[in-house]
Amino acid sequence: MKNLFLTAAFVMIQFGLAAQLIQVSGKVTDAETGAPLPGARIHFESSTIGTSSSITGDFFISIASDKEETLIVSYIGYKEGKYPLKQSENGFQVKLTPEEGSLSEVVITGTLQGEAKALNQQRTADNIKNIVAADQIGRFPDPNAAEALQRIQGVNIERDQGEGRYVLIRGLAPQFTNISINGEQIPSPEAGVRFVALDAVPSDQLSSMEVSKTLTPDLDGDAIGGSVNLVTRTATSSTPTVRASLVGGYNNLMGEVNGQTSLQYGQRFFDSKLGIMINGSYYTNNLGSDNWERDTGGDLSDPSNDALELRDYQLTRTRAGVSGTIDYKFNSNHEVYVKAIYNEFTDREWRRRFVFVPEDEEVQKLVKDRFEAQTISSYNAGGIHQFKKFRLDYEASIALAEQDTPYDNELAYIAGDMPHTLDFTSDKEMPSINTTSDYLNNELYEFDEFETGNTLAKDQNVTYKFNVQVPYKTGASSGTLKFGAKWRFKDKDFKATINKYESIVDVPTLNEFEGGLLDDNFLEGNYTLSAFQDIGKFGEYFNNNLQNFELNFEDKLVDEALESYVASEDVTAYYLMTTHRFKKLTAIGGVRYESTKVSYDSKEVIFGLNGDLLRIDDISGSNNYDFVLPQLNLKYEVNNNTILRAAAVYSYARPNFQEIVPSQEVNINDREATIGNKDILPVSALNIDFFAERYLKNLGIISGGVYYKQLNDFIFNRRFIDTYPLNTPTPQVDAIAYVQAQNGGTANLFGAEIGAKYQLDFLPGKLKNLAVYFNYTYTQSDAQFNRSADERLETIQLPGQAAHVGNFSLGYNSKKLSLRAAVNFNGSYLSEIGATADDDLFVNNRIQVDLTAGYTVNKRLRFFVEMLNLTNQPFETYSGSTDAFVQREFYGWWSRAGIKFDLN
Amino acid sequence: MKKIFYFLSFISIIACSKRDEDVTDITNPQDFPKVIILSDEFDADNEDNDAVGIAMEMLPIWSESNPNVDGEVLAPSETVRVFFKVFDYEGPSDISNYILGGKAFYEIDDCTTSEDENIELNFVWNADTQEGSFDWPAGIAEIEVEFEVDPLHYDDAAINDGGRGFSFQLTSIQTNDSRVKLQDAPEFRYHVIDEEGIFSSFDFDFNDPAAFEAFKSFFGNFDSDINDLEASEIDAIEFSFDQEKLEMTITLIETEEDECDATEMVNVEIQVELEYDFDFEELINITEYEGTLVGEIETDDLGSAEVEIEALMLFNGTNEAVLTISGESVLGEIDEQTFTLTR
Repeated sequence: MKNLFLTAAFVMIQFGLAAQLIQVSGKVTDAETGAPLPGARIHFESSTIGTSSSITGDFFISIASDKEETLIVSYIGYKEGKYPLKQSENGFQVKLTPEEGSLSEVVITGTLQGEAKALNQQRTADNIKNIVAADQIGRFPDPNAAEALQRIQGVNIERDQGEGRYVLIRGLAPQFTNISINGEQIPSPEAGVRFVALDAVPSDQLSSMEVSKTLTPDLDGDAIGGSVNLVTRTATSSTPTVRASLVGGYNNLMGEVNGQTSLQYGQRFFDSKLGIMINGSYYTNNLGSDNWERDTGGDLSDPSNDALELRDYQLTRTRAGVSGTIDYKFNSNHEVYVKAIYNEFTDREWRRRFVFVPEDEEVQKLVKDRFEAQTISSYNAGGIHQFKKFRLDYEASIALAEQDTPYDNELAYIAGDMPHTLDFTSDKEMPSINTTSDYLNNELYEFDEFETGNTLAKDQNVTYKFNVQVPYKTGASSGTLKFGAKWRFKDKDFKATINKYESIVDVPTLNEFEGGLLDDNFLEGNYTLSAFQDIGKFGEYFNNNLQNFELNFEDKLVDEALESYVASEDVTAYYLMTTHRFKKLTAIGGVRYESTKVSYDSKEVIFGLNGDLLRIDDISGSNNYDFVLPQLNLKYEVNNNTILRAAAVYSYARPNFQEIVPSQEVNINDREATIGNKDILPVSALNIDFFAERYLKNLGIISGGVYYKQLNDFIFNRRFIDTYPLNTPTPQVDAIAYVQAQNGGTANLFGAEIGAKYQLDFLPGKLKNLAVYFNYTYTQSDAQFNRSADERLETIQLPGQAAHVGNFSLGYNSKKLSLRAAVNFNGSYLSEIGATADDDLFVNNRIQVDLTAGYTVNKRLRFFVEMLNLTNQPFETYSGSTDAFVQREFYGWWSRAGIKFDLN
Repeated sequence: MKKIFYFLSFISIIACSKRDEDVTDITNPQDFPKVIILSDEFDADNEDNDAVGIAMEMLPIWSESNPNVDGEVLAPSETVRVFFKVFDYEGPSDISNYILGGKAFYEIDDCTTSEDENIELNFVWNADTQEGSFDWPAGIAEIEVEFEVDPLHYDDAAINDGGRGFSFQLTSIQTNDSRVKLQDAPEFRYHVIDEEGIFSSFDFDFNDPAAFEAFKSFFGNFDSDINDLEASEIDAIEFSFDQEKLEMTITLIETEEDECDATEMVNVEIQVELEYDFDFEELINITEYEGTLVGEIETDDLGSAEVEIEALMLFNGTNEAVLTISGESVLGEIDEQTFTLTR
């Protein structure tokens, strides 16, 4: 395969050397502000040859010609520029002036500059791509990258404690989307999974976010839903840019404040050859949630045995980010750069739980105190060189992710002889507790268990890559041949320390350790809580009375063995593609080959016939797979502002590490086992897209399309009964209930998405400042699988896939004032597959309403106010139907108000 | 560059989390103290017993260098003087008439104790204050205190209602090994029980072929050697009800060297223990009891399987007991059998 690529590349290079070239390199900028204009469409009038400007406005274009050529540069919202050229030019400056009308007014304040940049980059993209520019990010109240991405057509998010965390594209689960920073995949700080929690990345660290819904061969092939690229900022001007913000806010549920600040400095030196950009931000947020959860034990038919948990969460989160870019342009053809971004997300969580267990006539009170620090960093060094006959770019990068949990402590107290019943049916939204027991009396609660621990998950990618682009001409049409290779070496490991202590004498009752937050309006007063135990106070008692506690050695060995693993994954990729331009049609086609070699070390834990630990064995293994991915994107430009696109692309998604690492927990006594699956296959997919875009002069767009995805070997947790050991003619145990991630059959997804962004400038007076923005994505999926070995095929909605996803916002933008009401809708989806269809767990629909208002004092100063989750929308899960809620979690509303200013 | 410096200073000042706020660092398990504990919370023996033993040991500590399910036992590095008291005596007259004296010793190996080697642990017992003390030598992980008691003190011909016995508590320690700690007030309760009730030994008539086959079909599940036994190989089969378990002992005619004295020959024994899954006090003064016992079946490669045994005990109050038992485990069911026992 490697030789085939090299031969093809050599042949094509020779082919590309044939013509006499006029080469133009330069920069496209705003004539008034000098700001670079990324995504400008640049082409020669006489030819199909075209290109687009980079994020810094730079471009390079060449044509084989002996006559004078006219270079045409167009940019939505700006007047088109035409420039006659007879010969090659270096440092050619294209200065575009804004169109007359409503745009020119708002450009002064810069509030729509971002939209212009985003739309132009989207228009010139070769594939189906959505882009959010930094200026747009600031228009919504989105403090992290996940929340900013939810505003994009076809994107929704999973939340944690009300804050956006994981990104889902076209309703597909997070593992089907890959996340990159500056074009290179970043690892996940979490153990076991690949997908990245984007709440670790402050949105103000980014210059833009790109969501590619179809792949081209030069992109990583492991993305079925799509690919997200987060782009950090680069210095664009020799005039120093210093921007800052200061924000304060309030969380209504917790009655606590939050704060945010950022500072950014960028400047180009030495005749704009050297650029330095450094950007930092810090966000602290005090938040929480009120939550009830029902533990059905997997059986809804007998609610008398169900338990009820009342959970009161209190959290303090911080989000700090520092990023920087140093680039040096030797001239307009040669550039080297170093980019770095470091993000740290910390999460201190107190979880206070009342657990009612009517079956045992017990009430438990548990408090968890956990600190978690996630860091995601990426360091890229590379160069871009435009030679006479070809363009070369190369890069070496290292991306690190770590999740350090230095302490994770939980203290459990328990009160027996507490007869009570639970009623989940009279009020399905707020179950009731019927009892005459004095369950609020802390003197009745006795020590049960104290669990302490810490974990450290590390994931590292080291990547080397290069790309070569060679322009060529064939008759009336022309194109660019591109080929390249990438080598990525991943190392991931997870270590856990878990200590469970029991007492060997009587420990003081709970009332001796009361402390911490007591919510006197829990779930809006529907339940009464009493003081919980303070882990800090108990910890002091524990340290001073160690002689009264005993560590459970067996649990420690088992828990740590099952959690810990080491894995490595080496990926080699080659691709060959061409971007060939006919008159109005551009065809981007090629093939990508990816080879993956995985190896791992983990543990197998076997419990004996009496339920005691029998042994812990080391297990090692490896798994290799290869994909050849043909990919074709077609782009037909009906006119300058109307584009039709189609794509047929093969891609795949790798299994999560927790699925592939064959760690095992086999409890023969309980006849239960949870086992990994070293033979699990990646999910492969064929993706077909048809898409249309109509760009409007007032920085609007109407777009829509349909798509189809066929997923083969989708992965789900299967429950089945089999012998122990598996696949042996002489089993020791006839029947054990296994849970194992396995490949299902085929899943088909059909979807349609539509979006519009429109300035209502046809309205009279100030109403012309109104703008609407909406998008909606519908996806229907049918996944076939058999739930267990003895059952027939079932058709279900693909786990994690939502049918309906959408956004709507109504904005008002005048010279000084901007107002926006935004509604975000996430449809229900299947979250977990149960033992039977009745036990399947679904996440309910959720609609969030946010308000933003901004007032621009002058070019340097802007005030804003944001209010989020105004309707206090809960996170809800249910089994079967919403008549059987399993969880309802409320976050309240929260707000932020602040000031943004340019210091220069 | 000055701006960058100011900026970085600004970020470093404000960038703080709540990592250390109100956090108590919890002691690592490998740093735990060496804790002296009592091995059991209670024991019981028949009323004509002449000695009461109370075992104590060092609580194992987690071994970071050799993680294992048993932990690591760290003995004191210096001699520990251990103080104790006896209290809550229940019985006739005074405890000073029951406890006649005592000693402390430790096992050197399975056949030798410190007493055999004349190692003095300076045991002191004050019958007036009912307090005492002894030395716990450095390097020793287990000690036993044994009280000499009057076997006639409680002995009578009646079945009592229980509540006879005394409590023992370790009260304090003195040592230069600062890592040695005493568990807070560890207590031990000794119960005196009647041999007139079910707590005694019963014989099983293995010469009845049908009864012997039934016996083998049940107990052969617990020890496969039993399946191959012939009645002619057996000297006696005894069922013994004690405070924790029902112990079945087959004494063979075959003899072997005594483990601790090669000059002496002893009969080979096969034992099966079925532990009570109920409080032994429920067996006091009864003629009928239905309860659960737990046995274990050893396998070659899957450890031992726990067998849940349903038992019905009918005791005529004098010399005969009828035991009906059946079992169930992950390996399958054990058919119900009935054994008539006499004494």
